[in-house]
Amino acid sequence: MKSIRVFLVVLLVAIVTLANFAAAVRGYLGSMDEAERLFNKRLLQQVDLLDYLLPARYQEYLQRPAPEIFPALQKSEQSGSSPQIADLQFQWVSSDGKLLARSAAMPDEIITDLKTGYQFVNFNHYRWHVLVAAAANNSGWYLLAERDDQRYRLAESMILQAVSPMVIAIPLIGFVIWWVLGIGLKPITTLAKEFHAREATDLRPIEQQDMPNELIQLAQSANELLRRLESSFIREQRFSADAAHELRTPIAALNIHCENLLHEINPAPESAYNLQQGIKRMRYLVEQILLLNKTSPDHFMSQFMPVNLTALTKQVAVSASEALGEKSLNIEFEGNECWVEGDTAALETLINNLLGNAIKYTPPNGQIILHTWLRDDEVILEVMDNGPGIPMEQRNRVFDRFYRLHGDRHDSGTPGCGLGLSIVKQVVDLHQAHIRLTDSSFPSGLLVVVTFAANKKRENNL
Amino acid sequence: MVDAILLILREVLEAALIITMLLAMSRKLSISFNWIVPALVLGVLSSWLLAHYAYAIADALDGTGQEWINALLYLSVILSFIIIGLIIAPLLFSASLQEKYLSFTDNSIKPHKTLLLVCSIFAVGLSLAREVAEIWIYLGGFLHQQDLLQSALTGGAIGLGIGMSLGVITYYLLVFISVRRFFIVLFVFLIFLCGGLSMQIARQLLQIGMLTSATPLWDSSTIVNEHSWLGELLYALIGYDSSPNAIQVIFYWIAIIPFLVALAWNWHRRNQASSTTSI
Repeated sequence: MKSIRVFLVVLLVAIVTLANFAAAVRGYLGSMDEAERLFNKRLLQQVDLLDYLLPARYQEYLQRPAPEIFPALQKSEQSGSSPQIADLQFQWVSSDGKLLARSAAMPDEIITDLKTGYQFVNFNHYRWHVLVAAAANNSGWYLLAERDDQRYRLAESMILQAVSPMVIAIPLIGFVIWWVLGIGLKPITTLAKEFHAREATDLRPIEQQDMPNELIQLAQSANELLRRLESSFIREQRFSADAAHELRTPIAALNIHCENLLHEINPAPESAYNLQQGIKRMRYLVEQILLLNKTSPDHFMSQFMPVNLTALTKQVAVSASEALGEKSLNIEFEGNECWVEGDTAALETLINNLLGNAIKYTPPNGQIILHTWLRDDEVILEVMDNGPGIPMEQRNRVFDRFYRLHGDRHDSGTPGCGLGLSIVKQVVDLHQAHIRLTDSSFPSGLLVVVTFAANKKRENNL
Repeated sequence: MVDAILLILREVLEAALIITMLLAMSRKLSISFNWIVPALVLGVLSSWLLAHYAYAIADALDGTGQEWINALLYLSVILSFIIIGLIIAPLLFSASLQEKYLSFTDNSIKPHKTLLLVCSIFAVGLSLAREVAEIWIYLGGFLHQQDLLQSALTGGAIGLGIGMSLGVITYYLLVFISVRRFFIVLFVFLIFLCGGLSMQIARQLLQIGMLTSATPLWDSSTIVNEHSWLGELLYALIGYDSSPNAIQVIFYWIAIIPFLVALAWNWHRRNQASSTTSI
């Protein structure tokens, strides 16, 4: 079932149509039978009428050599061509079977056997309802006839007046059902819209005022979930903050002790240098895990504001100058001033990680280029290096957590934990931006292109 | 009016059941319903052509054109249904079909999707062509009899309404049963439908003397009259004929044999597979 409303409307209209039309057919058939009885009664009444007029002249007609022919009646103008009334024809036959009189449309022959009752007879190219009845005072027989097709049309034209509105009503009923269901299902639509419109960080309970009973339970369960989610977020945030503090402090202490050790023992053993490397790696890993946690969509609680991406990029590049100097890397910056809607800390992490990767993988005396471009509605951040690059088939996988290029054989000589690009991807997703890895314009190397939506208001003001 | 109801109900009910069954099949196999659009376009256009050139067609081939066209349409629909039946037959014996819908990505129909859709389009389109053409011709006859037109249109609307409503209700009944049960229903429906259609081919060929008529094998009109409400329903469902002759019965069997063979073959394969697994 894709839509409750469509399902209910289609099924209800089908059931109503079926019931309505079955009733219409039943009514039609019943009414036609009733009309048949009424027409037959009318024939009987005509017999009474003839009994008032004809038996008195029985002897006179009996003496005549030829039957008397009653001329056709002049119909009034209103009757027109449509069968407003069924033509009534008759024959008057003596007791010994001689035709005494007839209406103009009847043949000279007696149309059927003289057996009392109703029967069908075909003559004059039509099918007729015939009533054979004995005349009063033993004055022979009356044969009254009505055309079947005229009767049928007359009866049907009356019954159709009752049936046709039932057919015309169906689209109307369909529309009313559609409209009423729309009203009935509105609380569901409203609830769905409220959920949809909420920010990920908005964990306020759902308003239950004016909510139908059927939805109250759902709303209560949802509110309970939201409450648990909120307390879980708070716990998580507290844990992250505590963990950051609790982990950073002993690692910093370890680092100082290790450096002291290197000063105190001269020459320092190889293991002491390995220890220093291990501590560095651990500090980096802890920082990255904390960053990954902070920028995860579930935990990201910060509000976006306009950020000058160009200034931020320059600032990150300046702060990386020590690392750049260590490897004698040449860095270039080019671009125009670009503003995006975002979170400064998260964007700083993104640029930091991209630049950090470029510094890590570019060989000494290599080249790194940073660009920020404004193109139409988009802001493009590019980080390009002339390092080894990433093979095409691995470009999708490098965003996976703890995935490191060439696995354990990775040999960049720098600490890394395979989280940098996962964090970048997370920040990109948070800002609804796109990231693309491609070949750099150097003979080797990687070009990372991040495309943001430009902050229109800011751009227009500039 | 009753004549109009009966005639249109008979045509609409058959078309509605075919469309319902194939739409429910798409739903169960998680295939999009988009194929119904070309099928309806094909049906309406070809029915209009058949109705518009009805006299030319009837006069063609020494006055046997109508029967040949009908037989050809019936044959195409039967072939489409046989192919659909062969494709879905393996599903009847899949043990893991208790759920309501089958994910399209992991079922055995996937390699035959295009063929299945093409056959569905032809089956619906050509069935509609024949059924709707008869409705056009019937209602067209009343255009010059204004006093009877309202009665015919009202009857037509009632027949259409009842037929479509039954189709809709059947659709939702089918949607709510399990995949396995649905495919059993669909397979049985296809068997009876193809059997019924093949009897219609025989009837058309008998009418133009291509086959020699023999005395009816039986006459069940006293039990169910072809022209009664039940008779019309049975005609729409299984091609009921109260007094079929030997040729019609032979045609019936020829049409349903592919289904029975597919059934036997898949049953045999399932048994073999299960005995291999048990070893």
